[in-house]
Amino acid sequence: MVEVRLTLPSQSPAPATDGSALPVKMVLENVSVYYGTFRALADVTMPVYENHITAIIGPSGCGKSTLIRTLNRMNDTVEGARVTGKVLLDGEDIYASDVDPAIVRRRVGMVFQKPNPFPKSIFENIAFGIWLYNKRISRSELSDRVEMALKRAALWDEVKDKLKELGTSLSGGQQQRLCIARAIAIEPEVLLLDEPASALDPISTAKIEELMLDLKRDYTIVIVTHNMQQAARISDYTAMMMMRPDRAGELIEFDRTETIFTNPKDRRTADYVSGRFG
Amino acid sequence: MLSSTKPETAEPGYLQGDSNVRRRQTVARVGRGVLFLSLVLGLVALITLFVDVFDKLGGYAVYSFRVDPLTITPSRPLEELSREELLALIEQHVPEEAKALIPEDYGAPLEELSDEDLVNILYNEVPSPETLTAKPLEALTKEELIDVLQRNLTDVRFQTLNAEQPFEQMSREALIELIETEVLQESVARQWTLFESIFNRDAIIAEIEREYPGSDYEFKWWLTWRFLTSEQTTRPETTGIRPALLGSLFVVTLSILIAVPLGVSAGIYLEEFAGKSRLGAIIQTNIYNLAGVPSIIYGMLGLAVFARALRDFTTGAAFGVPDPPPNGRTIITAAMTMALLILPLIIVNTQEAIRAVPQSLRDAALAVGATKWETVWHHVLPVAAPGILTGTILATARALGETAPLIVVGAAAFVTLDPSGIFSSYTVVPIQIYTWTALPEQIFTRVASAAVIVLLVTVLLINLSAIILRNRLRKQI
Repeated sequence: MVEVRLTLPSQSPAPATDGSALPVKMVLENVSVYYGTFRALADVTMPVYENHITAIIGPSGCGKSTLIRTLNRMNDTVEGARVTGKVLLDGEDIYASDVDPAIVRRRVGMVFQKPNPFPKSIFENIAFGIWLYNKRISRSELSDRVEMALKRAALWDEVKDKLKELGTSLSGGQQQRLCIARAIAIEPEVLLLDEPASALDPISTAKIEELMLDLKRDYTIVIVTHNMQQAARISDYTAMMMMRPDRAGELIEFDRTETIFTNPKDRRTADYVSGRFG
Repeated sequence: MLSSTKPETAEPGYLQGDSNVRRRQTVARVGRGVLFLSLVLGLVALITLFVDVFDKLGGYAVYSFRVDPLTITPSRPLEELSREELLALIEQHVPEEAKALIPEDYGAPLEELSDEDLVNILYNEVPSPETLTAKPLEALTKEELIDVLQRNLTDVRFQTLNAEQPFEQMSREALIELIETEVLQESVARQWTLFESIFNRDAIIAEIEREYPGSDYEFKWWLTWRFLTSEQTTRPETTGIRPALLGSLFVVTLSILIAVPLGVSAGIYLEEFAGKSRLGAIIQTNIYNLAGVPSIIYGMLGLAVFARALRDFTTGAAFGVPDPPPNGRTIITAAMTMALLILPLIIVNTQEAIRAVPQSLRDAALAVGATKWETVWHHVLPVAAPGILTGTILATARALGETAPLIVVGAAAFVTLDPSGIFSSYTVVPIQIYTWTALPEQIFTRVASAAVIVLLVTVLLINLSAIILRNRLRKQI
């Protein structure tokens, strides 16, 4: 684990409550993302603190999803996408030329906005990622790890009798927790969630939020959300993003969540979190 | 706050619409009518096709013999007959006018002529005098019938038939029937169409009895088990489609074996691995164009490359196959030509099937640390498989019905032997249909109709299996 003291030009260094520096898991330094010639993200610099939940908020089209997909190189799959600047994971640049994106994604797991279980059995949904990195794993060990992941995602009791059924046959909320179980089954260090509850009903949403608060003991979590209350309820740090006039997304404020919601420095943040626009 | 969209100025009867709405609804009705009419026209065309094919498939047929039965049965030479028998024959068979002229021609009345003269009269005045003493087939004993077969068939044919079913064990009736088909070459003199035969039965039978007295007639179907399982002959009554059917099977199976691995692989590569580039776009456009190239052009290509340039390989000469067919006209040539023809179809179809797999599925696999290959192999292909399979089966149907390229690369018109391997000569069902239709003998169009039904049913079954397979695989996902 690398401790990085950040000197962020426009934002405060965001100290912990006791004043000491927090361990930093990931750092973005002047990250810009281009899709072809279009600049989607402009010069984002921010830390991701270990074992904390960082929320990314902001109006639609401000580059929140682009930002979070930059953290595990999912943007590589987009034709013509290009990233400049540095994204450090434990001090190592994940965009360095000798880095294998598959390894990055193994260490930085991701859950998507729309639940996307594989059209295979619940068991296989979880087992696939485990099996990829340990193809000689015994059947019983694999079963144990699948069970562990499902328990960790608070889904075990609901699916333990139907592990052979299709993952796609579950309800929307269950599917999303299955996706979370799938993501944590391979024991990543960081978990990225891109609006994980936006397609779910309030009860499923509550379950997922509860789950995240539980998971942050073991994982570093970054979540994109449209829901201000959700950000306020679960996150420790909040990044506020906006779209510039040239349509590129920029980070306008990063701070402890209480500060963002009670005493923001930027007028636009104040307007946004109080619901005056956006 | 609730508000009605009803304008302030609305009159009573507003809900019935004004002239504007009525005009738009009229356009909608006319549009619907045009669409429906197109459907009806299409259906009419299809039904006409089927009616035409079925009309020729069966009907009343009247038979005649190519060989006069009396010329093959045992008979006594006229010279051995007694004077009484000769006189009786003259009385019976010589026309009255000829009889009246006998005294003038031979210099004496009939009764005073010598036996020799009587024989001469029979030879001169009767069309086929040697048959006069012949017994009809029905009057022969079993031994005599077998003797007739032996004298009139080649030794090989006689032995073959005897091996199939020993003559000694056959009934007299069965032997007569055998003689009728094998020796007399009983053939259809005329056949009425199916619908005539159904709706005009009595008139046809009356006509047969008037025009062809004493001839056999029956309601004859052309699509029979015998037709499916017999080899090709020169006679419509005995010809069959087995070599063509087997030829089609060989060619299509082989071309699928060649084209599917190539096409599916190329499709996967283009869709999943080849990035967007100018070269990729050019290749893509060309593949789309290839899928629409007229099939005869593939025939020309196959002729130049497989049948001519690679002749030693496509005839098997390079592998020491004895007695190769000339000009590279082998099954492997046809299969490779056909494979080229369906390759673009399979590539395009594979690409479309893969494109239909949602990106979210790829993201899901990549996000747990899978490589591109693992993502495609474990998650994209299983989901795309039903689509790929359906396209492959449809390509099979296409290959089965394709004729033009095979005419060029040399499907033989007349093949009596079943294909024996990839280097044998062959024919296929569509070529066979074409050949039969082009023959001058009208009755062969009936045979062609039977072959058309065979082809249509095969294609239909293939398409049906595609639908069933697709539905079953979809259910599993």
